Parts: sequence; structure tokens; C-alpha cells
Amino acid sequence: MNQADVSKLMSRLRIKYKPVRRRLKNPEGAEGRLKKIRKTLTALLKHERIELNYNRADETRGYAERLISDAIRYGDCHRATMELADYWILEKQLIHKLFKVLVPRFDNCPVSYTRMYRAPRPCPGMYYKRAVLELRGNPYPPLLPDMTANRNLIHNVLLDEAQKEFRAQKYAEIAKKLEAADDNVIKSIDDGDEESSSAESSGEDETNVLGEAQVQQPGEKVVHPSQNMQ
Amino acid sequence: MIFTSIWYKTFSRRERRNAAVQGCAGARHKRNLLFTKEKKRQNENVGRIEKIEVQYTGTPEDVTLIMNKGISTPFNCAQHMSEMLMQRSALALIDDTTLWDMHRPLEADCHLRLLHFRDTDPYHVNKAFWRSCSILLGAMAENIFKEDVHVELHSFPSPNVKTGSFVYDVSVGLDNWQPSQDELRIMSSQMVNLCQKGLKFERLEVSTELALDMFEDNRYKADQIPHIASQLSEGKTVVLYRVGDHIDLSRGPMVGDTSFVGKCTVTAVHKIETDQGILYRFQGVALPKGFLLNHFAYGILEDRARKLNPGRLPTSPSSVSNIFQPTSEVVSLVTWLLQVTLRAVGCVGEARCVHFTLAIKKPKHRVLRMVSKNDYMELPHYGIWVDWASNRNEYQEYFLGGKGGRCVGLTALPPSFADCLEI
Amino acid sequence: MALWCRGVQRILVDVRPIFSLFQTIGNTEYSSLSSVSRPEGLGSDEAKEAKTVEGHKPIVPLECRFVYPEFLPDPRLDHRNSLREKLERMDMLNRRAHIDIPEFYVGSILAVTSSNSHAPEKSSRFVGICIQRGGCGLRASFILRNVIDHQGVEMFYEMYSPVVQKIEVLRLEKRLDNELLYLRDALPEYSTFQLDMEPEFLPEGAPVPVNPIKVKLKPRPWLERWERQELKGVQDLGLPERFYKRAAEVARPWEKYDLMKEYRASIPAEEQEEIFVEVYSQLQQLEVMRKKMKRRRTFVRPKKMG
Repeated sequence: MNQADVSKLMSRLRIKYKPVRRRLKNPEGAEGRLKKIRKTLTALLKHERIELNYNRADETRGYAERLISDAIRYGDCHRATMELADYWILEKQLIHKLFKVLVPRFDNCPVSYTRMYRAPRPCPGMYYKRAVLELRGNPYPPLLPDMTANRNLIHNVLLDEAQKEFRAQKYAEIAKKLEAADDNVIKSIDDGDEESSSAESSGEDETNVLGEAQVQQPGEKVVHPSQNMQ
Repeated sequence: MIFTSIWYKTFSRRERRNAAVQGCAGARHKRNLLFTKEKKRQNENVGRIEKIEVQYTGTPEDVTLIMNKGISTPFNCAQHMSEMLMQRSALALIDDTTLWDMHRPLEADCHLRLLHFRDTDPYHVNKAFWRSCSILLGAMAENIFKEDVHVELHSFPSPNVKTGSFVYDVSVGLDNWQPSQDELRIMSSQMVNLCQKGLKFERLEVSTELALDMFEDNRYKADQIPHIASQLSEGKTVVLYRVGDHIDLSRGPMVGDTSFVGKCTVTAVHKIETDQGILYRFQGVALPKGFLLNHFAYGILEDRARKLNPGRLPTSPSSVSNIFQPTSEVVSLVTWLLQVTLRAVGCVGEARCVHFTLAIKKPKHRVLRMVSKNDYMELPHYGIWVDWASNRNEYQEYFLGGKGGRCVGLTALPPSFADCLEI
Repeated sequence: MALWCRGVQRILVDVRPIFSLFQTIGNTEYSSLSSVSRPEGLGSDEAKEAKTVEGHKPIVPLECRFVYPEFLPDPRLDHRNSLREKLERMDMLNRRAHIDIPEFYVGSILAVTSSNSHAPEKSSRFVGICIQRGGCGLRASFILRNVIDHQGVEMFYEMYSPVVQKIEVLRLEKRLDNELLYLRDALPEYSTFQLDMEPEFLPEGAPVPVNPIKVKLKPRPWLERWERQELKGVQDLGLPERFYKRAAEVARPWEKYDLMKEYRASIPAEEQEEIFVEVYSQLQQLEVMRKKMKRRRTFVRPKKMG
């Protein structure tokens, strides 16, 4: 049972990460691992979409998310965050991009800042898993087909038709209601002329005849003018 | 409960077998035998194997395949190219004009396109899917009743996805039958079972006599066969489809096999009165496999599919007369007219008249369907789980406008970043 | 098992309205309470943090995490279990309702009375400096160190153990380091405290003072290689040059940039807030109760005198 290290506050990551780090084997050990990730992270910030080995992409993703979330949380006037950015971003002009482009872009982003897809593997050969890692809001065309935009797909056709039918039905209902209301007006005016004392009871009768709770409102509305008329 | 699933429990196996041999199952058995025999005969008629050239256009790349005439199917072409094509292609388009089943042998040199459910405009695939679902509904309806209920399939109206449900009209020897919710659920589950088997839709063109022989137990079908044969412009043949052990008349085309059907529900059975007596209209709704819809949205579709489908009510074939059948000259004339009009408008695509129907009884029916080449242009497609190596190249092209250029985002990073992505 | 879970859920549901009831009380009370104080070890970073976070307006003060670190769960993903954590927090609050567990830090001097079956009064009292705090949830613990009869003695206490009867803070202060394990190798006068020490009270609202004392270590051999740890509260170690060289060789300066390592060792701010929103009102309630009790005691005495 370890106590949580509370010396620094950090925002919650919106991605799934492994409980234990991957070692990304290399002769320099832990430092080499960070150097490797640093290169990939810089490339990610520069190109906004990269294709690479799955393990490395997954490791880098966490670091990219943390860096951006720290930049959002603490801003560019925070010395520790600036040091972090200086360490992680090899091409220094990208530090400006991080604080001036990415921070405004992701400021109110409720989801993760990066996305990762499984990429196809080269067929005969070493079977490393491949992945595409990208920043959200990048300028490239989307990698996944948009199932909602194409209204010709079968489920969209079905849903659109269902919507049309529902609307037609609603319009018909409204028209019917209006007609009923008109009838009420005519009827109540007639009633008011004939016997003004029974205005309320006539309104109730109308609603009972129609048998719909929704129609009560126009019925009541009709009652009031006739009362005013008295 | 009038379904076989319950009935199975009450009779011994021997009784069941006797009944099955005698009843409609016997007729089905005979129909299957005839179908198999005829298919074998037609295969033998192919004779010496000749080669045809099939030019395929589309993803992953345009290729020319040398296939066997009368034996190779579009599915075989897909098998040669990629697993992805094999799995997703539901329908083929030959020479940009004729829709072709995936398992129907190719007959001559042709251009081939493979259509799937996520095309830019999957109109034809959707229609074929709806038609296939109708046939499956018929297959389910024929098998699900007890032996003492006399079931005769009638027909189904031309599939229209926009009506919200696929339909099969069936004559059931029951008066005032109203299926309960449980019965509908059983029917749905039977339908799902049928779909999960992944049965191929086998197409066979047979002579009218043979078809009449096969459908001698079904008076409706027997009535329809001469009429359908006369509708086809050449010869006295009708097209049959077999799925599992169910055989039905349909003009086609159908999707490749039943595994294309994903979510599937039988929603309602309506009693309809026609000039051929009382029929029951079975209705259902389905989505292709891989189309994930949340249950609320699917519930809306189910609710809509419960209403009586406004499709054409079945009529006896003799009452339909005076069907307009365009000759090839008329078709070419219309095509020419279309092209002239399009050129005048400034549309660059190629247009051809494909489907030309004119029903006297329903003037509102879609008279003309125009297909332009642009409809079938494909955008790069990149799924999460797609194991599809060649797509990457295409994707690169998308960025670069040509192979071999400087890649912006993918594997070929600029030289200064070559070390970034080393493994 | 299922039944048990259901029972637990019912308890949680029952408890929640009480939490929300106390919520408002706790918030209004906070402005006047002073026991929650800012640590100063973080210096300028902390100031920046407060500045950036101010737009967010947290419901509970962020300093809670220094005062009640044991309410935060174990950050290891494979040890997490939200239901167990919640139950543990409830048990901790229940225990805190029985005994007073005051605010203290590493470097504070405490007196702990615990039941001891071998002692003549069946309980024993130990005074010492807290050299380490650890664990989370019900297993939260601390180590007290003192030198008694020229013999260094360390006692390990679990904060929520039923054996512990009373915890008093004799001197509330912090040291320059997060762990004072080097006191084991320091000269004995740095960890010698009188057993009859009088408690020192801080004025209301004052920040917790940091004791900048630098400890002188005994000559080697040591229990650990202290020169390799960046210790602030230690005088010059006076080692030959080769030790510092070796320390520089094995140093891992990149670790402070390892963002994911940092993340895996801590609990994110949003989650901390969720947890403290859950317990803060009750903790405040307990605090207020304790103060009232103290005040009552102080009021009673003059009456008796009179």
C-alpha cells in the first residue's frame, strides 16, 4: 500500500494506460527510453499524425497527453512546465506551437487530446503491431469513415424515413388539434350568445368529447374569453 | 402455439419423420433434388474451360484477372485480390450496367466493380439486401409452422428500403391469426439462426417447365411462373434462388450470403385481404452486419416496421397486363438522350440507363434510375481493425496526389525524422 | 456476496444525503478555520498553481491532500477498487469519530498512547519525532523515533489501529525533507526528546512552521548511502571526492521529466477532489466538534475555581 505522491497536481488523463511502463528495450536503459519517446513526441507535435509501432505509440501517447494537459493546467508562465516542454520537445519552435496552438485548441476539450488507431501490418514479415497516433483536430482528412455524414447508408435511409413519417404524423396531429380548437371557438361563442352562465361546463364537455389531455389547454383558453365577455 | 419448436416436443422422432416426408417438407426435398440435378447439369454443360478477361476497377488497385468462363464468380475474383474485398463485397456490377450476384458465374469478358454497404451511394446493395431479407423471411415463414398448418408462400413486392420494412406475403391456413409477442420473438430468433449459418444465395436459371414441376405444390407460385417467364425478354426461363434448403422465385440480385445480415427482427404480421383470398403480410427490419445502431434508434426502426407496409398488394398475375418492356433500342435511345442532357448541363460523368421499369398500375413508381460513374467512386477507407496493407499506399496517395512524392504524415517521414521512427 | 454488496449499496445511499447536508456547513466554516495550512516546501511552484487553478474554484481546499494524505487511494492501477476504497473511507471517518487523529507532518513530535497488555496500566505512551508516513486507507501508518537511555527506539503505529488510544501533537512543524530516515545515522541529540514534553500550541491561523535545522550525521558506515540522496536537512557529509563522483554517475536526473512515472505515482486532481468532496464535510464536522470540546473544557475550569 503506497501513499499517493501529492506534491504536484495533475489533470486526469482521458486515455487508458497500462499500469506498468513498457521498457522499449535499448542499450541506454531508462534514459534511452525517454529519449526515444522524446523523438516520437516531437514528431507527433510537428506532424500531428504519425504511423509507428504500436508499443511505442502507446507509450508516447501517455507522455503527449500529460505534456498537453500540464501546458493547459499551468500555462506558459510556469517555470516547471516550461522546463518540461524544453526537455520533451526537441525542436524548440514547437514549444510555441504547444502553448499558442495546442493549448487553445484543447482548452475545453472533454475527451483525450490524441487518438490512436491500429494500423495494418506489412503482410509477410516481422509481425510488430502498428498504430497511427494523431492529435485531435489535425488538418488531415479523417481516418475512419464517417457513418453519419453519408445519408445513403441503409441505417441512415431508414432513420430519415422514420423521421419524415414521425413529422408528418405530428403535423397531422397539430392540424387536427387546430381544427378542434376552431370548432371549440365557434361552439363556445355560440354557447356564450345563447346562455353565458354555462361557459365552463361547455368547455369541460368539449375536452371529454375529445378524450385527450392535450386538448384541454385550448379548451380552457376558449373558456376565458367567453368569461371576459360577460 | 402453432410453431414446430413446440410441436417437436409432443411427437416422437419417428412420427415426426413420417409427417415430414409426407407434408411440405417432402415437397421441399423434391424441389431441392431437382435444383441440385439441374445445377449439376448446367455445370456439365460448360464443357471445355475457356478463359475470360475480367478488368477490375476499385480498391485496392485496378487489375485484370484471367478467369474461367461460366465457372468463376465475382467472389472468386475478390478471393484473388484481398480478404477485405471478399468479406465486404455484397454485390458486383458488371460493365457498369448489370448488377451481378457474388456467386453467379461470369459469362464473358467484362469490367467488374464490387459494391459494398458503405459505398458513397449503396442504393443497389441496400435493395439487394432488402430483397435477400425478404427471401429469408419467406424461408423462415415456411418452416416455422406446425405440419398441420398449410403454408403457401405467395410473393413479395419489389423491395423498397424507404418503406421501413421488408415483406413477404404468405397464405397461412388459419383464420384470424394474430401472432403474440412471443411468437414474433421466436420468428426473429429463427431468422437470426438462419442468418448465422452463413448460407450462400445460389442462383439458377431454369426452364418454365422445370420450375412448374418444382412448385407444383404451391398454387400461387405455379400461377406466377408463366407470367414471370413472359416478363423476361428472352426465352422461357425463370430465375430461382436457393438459400439452405429453401428455394424461391426472384429476379435478384441478392447479397452474397446470409451472414451479411446482422441485427434482424420480425416485427409484425398483418392480415391483408386480396383478390386471391386472405394472406398474411410478414414484416421485418434488419441491418447489415457491422452497422452498429444503439437500441433506441433501432427501436424506432422496429416501431416503424410494425405498421402495415404500403408495398404493392399481391394480385393474381392475370390482372396485371400491358406491361411495358423496353427493347434494347429504347434503352440505348434513353441513354443517348441522358448523355446529351448531361453534357448540356455540364456534368462530366458517364451516364447510362440501367433500370427501366414502368408499371401501369402504379404511375408513381420510380420510372427511371440513372447511374453515373461518379456514384461508384470510392474514397479511401481505413478501419480500425482493417488488416489491409495496400490501403496504406492508397492513403499516401491521398496525401501526395501520386506515388513517390514527399509524404506528410505517414511512414515516409522526411529524412531528418527517419530516426524518430526507427524501431 | 451479492447480498452483502446490496447491503453496502444501501448504506452508501443512506449516507449520501448526510454528506450533502454537511456540505454547505463545511464550506462556510472553512474560511474561519485555520488548521489547514499551506506547506512551504514547494515554494514558487505552489504560488503559480494557486494562480492558475483559481478560475476553477474547487469546492474543497486543495491543501487537504497534505493534511489527510491517507484518504487518497493507492495510485497503483492494479490495487484500485472503488468500492473497497469507499468503504475504507467510511471506516476511517468512523474511527476518527472515536479518537482524535490530529494534523501532523513528518518532523512533528507526537505522543501516542496505545494499549499494551504487558504494561502495568495496560497502556503505554511513547513520545518521538515522526520520521516517516506511509500507507493509505485503513493501513495508513507512521514511525516515531526517540532515543531512550542512549538507545534509539522506533515505534511503528497504524493510525486507524484499534490499539491506538490517543494521538497528541506536542510540536507541529515540518522539516526540509519528506522522510527523516537519516536520523538513524545522525547524532543521537537530534532525535532525543523528553518523554514529559509539554505540548506547544500554535496561534490560530498561523502556517505550520518549517524547521530549517541541518542534522549532523555520524561518520560512516551508514545504513544507506545518504550522499546519493538529495537531502536538504543534512550538514556537509565530509566524504572523500570519490563518493560524490560515484553519486553523480548513478544519479538519474531524467526521472523528474518522466511524466508517466509521476502520474502513475499520484492521484489526479479531479479524483482527489471527488474524494475530498465526499469526506471533507465530515472531517470538518469532527474538527468543529473537537474545538467545541476543548473550549468547553477551558470554560469549565474557571467555574470550578469560582
